[in-house]
Amino acid sequence: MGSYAPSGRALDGLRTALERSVLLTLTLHEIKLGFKNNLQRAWMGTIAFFGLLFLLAMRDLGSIYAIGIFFGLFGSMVAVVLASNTISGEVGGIADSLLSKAVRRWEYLLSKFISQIALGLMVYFLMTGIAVLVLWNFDWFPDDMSYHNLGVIIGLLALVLVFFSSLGVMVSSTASRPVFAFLVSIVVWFMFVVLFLFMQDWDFMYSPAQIITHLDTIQDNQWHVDWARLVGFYVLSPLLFFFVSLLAFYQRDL
Amino acid sequence: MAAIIQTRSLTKVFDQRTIAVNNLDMEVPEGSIFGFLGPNGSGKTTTIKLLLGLIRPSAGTVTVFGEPMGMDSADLRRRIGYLPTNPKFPDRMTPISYLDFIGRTFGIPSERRIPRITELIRAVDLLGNSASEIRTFSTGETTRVGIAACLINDPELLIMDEPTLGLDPIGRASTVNLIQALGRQEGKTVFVSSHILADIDRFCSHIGIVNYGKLVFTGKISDVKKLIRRNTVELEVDGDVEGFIAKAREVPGVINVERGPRMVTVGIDDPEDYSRVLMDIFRILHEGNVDLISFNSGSQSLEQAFLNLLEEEKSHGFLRAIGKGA
Repeated sequence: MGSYAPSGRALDGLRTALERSVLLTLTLHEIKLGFKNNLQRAWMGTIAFFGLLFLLAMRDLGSIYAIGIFFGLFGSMVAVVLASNTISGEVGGIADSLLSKAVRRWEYLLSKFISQIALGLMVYFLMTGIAVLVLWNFDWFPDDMSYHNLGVIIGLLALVLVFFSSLGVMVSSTASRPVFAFLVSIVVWFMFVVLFLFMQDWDFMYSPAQIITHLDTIQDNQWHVDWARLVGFYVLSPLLFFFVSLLAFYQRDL
Repeated sequence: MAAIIQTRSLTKVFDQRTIAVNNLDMEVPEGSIFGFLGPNGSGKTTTIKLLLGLIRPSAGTVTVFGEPMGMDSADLRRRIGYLPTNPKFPDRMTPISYLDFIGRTFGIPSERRIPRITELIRAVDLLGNSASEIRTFSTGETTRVGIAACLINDPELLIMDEPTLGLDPIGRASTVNLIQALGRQEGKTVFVSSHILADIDRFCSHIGIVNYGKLVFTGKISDVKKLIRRNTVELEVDGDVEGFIAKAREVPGVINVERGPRMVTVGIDDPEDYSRVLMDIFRILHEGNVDLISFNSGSQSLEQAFLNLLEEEKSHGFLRAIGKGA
């Protein structure tokens, strides 16, 4: 009891601090609501269906690549579209109500970014994680496969989702209406896909298309990645989107 | 009384085209039930959003609890409860889950938050459907969830935008009673915007009348009624009505007495003589063969005063621009 009391108090203190964190409250709330979203559920069902299809059809590492590419192409679009409604769909209603309470604008905005990114990553890692477990369980992985490099591949494609999720939230924070946010998000997604497809040799970044075309070489340790360049782009981009959103949202009348 | 809300030259122009709020100077006394009255499109909701920091003023200042209100004034809003018109709620949330979420955003610890939620659910009469999703609720039930949400943090100041809009008579009466109780018994300051004069007349102690974004009157509700009370009282009498009218015309301070289908209207000249004239009128009723069935002094006066004020403000024309120095 004597040794429990200080740590018990520390845990209580931590619980209280977490309970009182507006940012954490908003983020967890958004994630919970995100999983109740019909489009999100439809997307999870679609991924599960195609994931199963890839697993049963290929029964090797290629199924992981297929799931990853599926996420990279379609998942990025779903991420942008889902995120595009997250703020524009609430302005004039739920957002007004929330921001009339003890919630700061940057807390509201940051919770949207974190929750949308977290939602996308949770779905992605869940699906790929299940696929990896299935392949491992049935011993469908090649004997000389590097699990480390597999983790790198999965992680690299996750960064693509982070990019597009945060892009969608930025569009949502700047668009005046949900329908505009939806249309702009589709256009912006398409624009970036075209850019990434046709300009694969930019010096400051690795485009998703580059990553996708190098999956085999990454697995074989043949593709040497400049981590600074990689992380720099995929970490700085969401930060830039957040900063732009912050500027726009603080100018916005609700 | 100290002012809990103070605005100075508060102005909001949208897109350099629409003047929604026009140089508003207003003080809401602490402990008052302040009715913010105006026709549709007069700038009531915009003013409320300025008071809450939801929109930025084009000019002027808003001070609440003595501190300037801004977009990130979360500490000030911690002491405020806001009920918007037709409140919106996230999908797939029940009243309990929503109130719990709002309570958490206020940082209310669970040992206080849970009992408060149960108390509020019971107080707004939602025990029967507290497990149902809010999206299935009627307008009245949704408003009650909104009321519960605006009270969860036990605020000192309540701001309610058209709280009775869309409610049936029972819902309206219930909401009006609640506002009265919050103001008079709980000692909260309540700022209520409405275009329903009967509601404002019933529970407000102070009033602000706004038209085209401009404040045309602010003060106690009794002061507003004095604007029309100087003119008339209406009596429904039975008996020797003609005799009563003849004697009433002779009372000093009475400027005219007219007989309507049911009522006798007595016009009074000087508001300072109001009490004396009334005393004389009632003495005539008492001494004569006349029964007083009902008496009406300004029961419709708020509506008339409201219309008079709007008309008067409009008639000032160019002089409206010359109110104070630049």
